[in-house]
Amino acid sequence: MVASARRAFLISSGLIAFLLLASLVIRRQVPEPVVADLFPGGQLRIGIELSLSPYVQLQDGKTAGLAIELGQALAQELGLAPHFINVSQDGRFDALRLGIIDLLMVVDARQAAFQADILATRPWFNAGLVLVSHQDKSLQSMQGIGGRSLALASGSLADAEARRWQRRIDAFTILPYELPLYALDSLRLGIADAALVNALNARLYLRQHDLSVAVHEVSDQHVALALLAGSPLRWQVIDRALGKLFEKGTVARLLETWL
Amino acid sequence: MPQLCVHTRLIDEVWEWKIQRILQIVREMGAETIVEFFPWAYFEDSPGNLDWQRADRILRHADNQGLRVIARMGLVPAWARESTGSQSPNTLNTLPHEVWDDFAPFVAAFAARYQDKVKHLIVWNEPNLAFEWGHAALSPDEYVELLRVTHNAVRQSSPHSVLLAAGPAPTLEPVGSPHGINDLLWMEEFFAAGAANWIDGLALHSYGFAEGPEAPPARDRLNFRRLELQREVAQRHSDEEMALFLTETGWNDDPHHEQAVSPARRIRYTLAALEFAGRQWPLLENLCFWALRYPTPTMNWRDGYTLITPEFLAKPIYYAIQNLARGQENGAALWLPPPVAPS
Repeated sequence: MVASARRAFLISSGLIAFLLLASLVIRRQVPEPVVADLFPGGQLRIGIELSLSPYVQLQDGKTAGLAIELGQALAQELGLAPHFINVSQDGRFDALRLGIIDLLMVVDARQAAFQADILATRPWFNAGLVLVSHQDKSLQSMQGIGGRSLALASGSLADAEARRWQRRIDAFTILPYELPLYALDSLRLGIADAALVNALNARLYLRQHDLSVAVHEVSDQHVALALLAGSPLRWQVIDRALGKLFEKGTVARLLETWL
Repeated sequence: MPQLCVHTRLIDEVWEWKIQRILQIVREMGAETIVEFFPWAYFEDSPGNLDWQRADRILRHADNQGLRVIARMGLVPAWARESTGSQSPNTLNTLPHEVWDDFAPFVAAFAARYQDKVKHLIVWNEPNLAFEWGHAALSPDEYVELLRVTHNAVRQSSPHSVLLAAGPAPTLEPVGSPHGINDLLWMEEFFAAGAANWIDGLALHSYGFAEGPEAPPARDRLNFRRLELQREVAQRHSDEEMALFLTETGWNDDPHHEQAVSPARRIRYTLAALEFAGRQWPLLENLCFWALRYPTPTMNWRDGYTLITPEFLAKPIYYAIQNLARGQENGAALWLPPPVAPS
C-alpha cells in the first residue's frame, strides 16, 4: 500500500515536472510580437471623436487634449508615428472593423464589451460617480450621508444613484441643482455636506477651486482604448505599452495636466 | 401642435416588462406616436427564416398603450452582408446590391404582417453619412434605387402602407468629405434622381444644436429650422406637397457636448419648438424627440439627449413636455436656484 502510494507520488511529481519544463520550452519558443510587423506602415492610426470634450477639444483650430497627448505617448512608446483620425460617435466601432483606424482612444469599457468583436484594454481613467465632501468632514460611502445633505444635478445618473441610497440608508436630504457645477458650488459654500457628481466634473471643478476635499469613488465608468478582438497580438502590444505609460507615471501626469 | 412623438430604443430590451413600462411612460408624457427601429438582422438570421417575436411583443405593448408606431427599417444580417463572397470587411450597414431583392421582401413582409398596427415605414437611416451607408460610396441615386425596389415590394404586399424616405443627417460636411454629404446638396440629387416617384413622405432630421427654435435657417448653419430648407428642396422637386415627419429632433444638455445647452435652456427650447411647429409648420405630421431612453447609459454626451435615464428616472424635461401636452402650466423649476454664498 505504502509502495503503491509512493509510486503514484513519484509518477505525478514527474508528470508535473515534465509539464512545467514543457511549458517553459513552449513559452521560450513563442516569439514576442514585433511592433513593426503588426503596424507595417510604421504608423499608429488613432481614432478620436472631436466632440468628446474634455478628452479631445479644438484649440486654435487644432485638436488638443488628454486623448491626443496620451495617443502621442502611446505611439512613442511603440516607436510608431501617431496619426489621428476623426471618427463619429455612431461610426467609431465600424471604423475599427473597416481598418480605417488601429485603435480608439476613448471608449467606455462597458460599451466595448457589448461588441463581440471589440476588445478594450486596461482602463486609463475611471469617470464614474464620486462622492465629494470636505476633508475635515469626510464621507467615505453612502452610509455616511444619513442625516446630511447631498447636492447633485437633477435627473442625472447621480440623482438615480442617490434615490437608490434613499431606499437603503437613514434619511438624508437631496439638494437637486440644474448643473453638476452648482452641486459642487453648494458643497464649496457649505450648503451641502457632500456632492455626488461624475469624476470628470469633479476634477474639472477642483482644478479651478482651491478646496480641501475628500473624493471617494462610488461607481465605475472605465475609460479604455479599444481594438479589434481579432488582432490579439496588436491588443497585447498596445495594452502593454499602456501599462508602461502607467509605470512611468505618464498617465498620471497627463491626467493631472488635463483634468 | 404637431402630433407629439418620441424615438424609443425598445428592440434591444431583454425584459418585456421594460418595454411595457417604457411605452406607459411615453403615453403618460402625452405622446401619441413612437419611432422604433426594426433591424432586419434581428428578424431574418438566415435567408427566408423570419422570426417576428421581437416585433410582436413591441407592437402588442404599443397597441395596448394606444400608440402609433413609425417603423424604421435597416441593419443587415451577416448572411446578406457576406453574400457577395467578398472578403473585404463590412459593417452592419453594408447592403450589397445583390441583396436588395432580399431586403425589399423583408420590408414588404413586415408591412403586410403589421398593416393593422404600423402604417408608416422609414427605409434606412441618414443615407448621406458614410457610417450609415456602410462606408460605401455615398450615392443619392443608389438610395433612390433602393427606395424604388422597396416601394414595388411593399405596394404588392401592403398597398396602404406609407413609405417614408429616411431623412439625411443635417451636416455641413464639405464637398469630398469622407464622412458625409451636406444634407441640402444630398436632397437636391436625391430628388433629381426621381425619389418623389417612390415615396409617400419624408422623415426628416433637424436638431437645434446651440440655437433656439426660432433662429432663422441658413445654408451654412445647423439649427431647428433647417427643416424649412429641406422642405424647400422637396417642394421644388414635387408636384404635390409631400407629407413631412420630423422623426429626430431635440437639444442636448450634457455639459461636455460642444453644442450643448443648459438643462433649463433645453426645456425652454423644446417647449418653444413644439409651439413654433404648431404655429408655423401646419403640414408637419409628427415631431419626434430623440430619444426617450437608452437601454444602458452611453456614459457620454449622447445621454444628454434622453428624457429619462436607463433606470426610469424622469428628467425635468420629461415633466415639462408632459405639462405642455396636458395643457398645464409649467410652474417653478424642479431644481434649486444656483447656490450663493450665505451673507
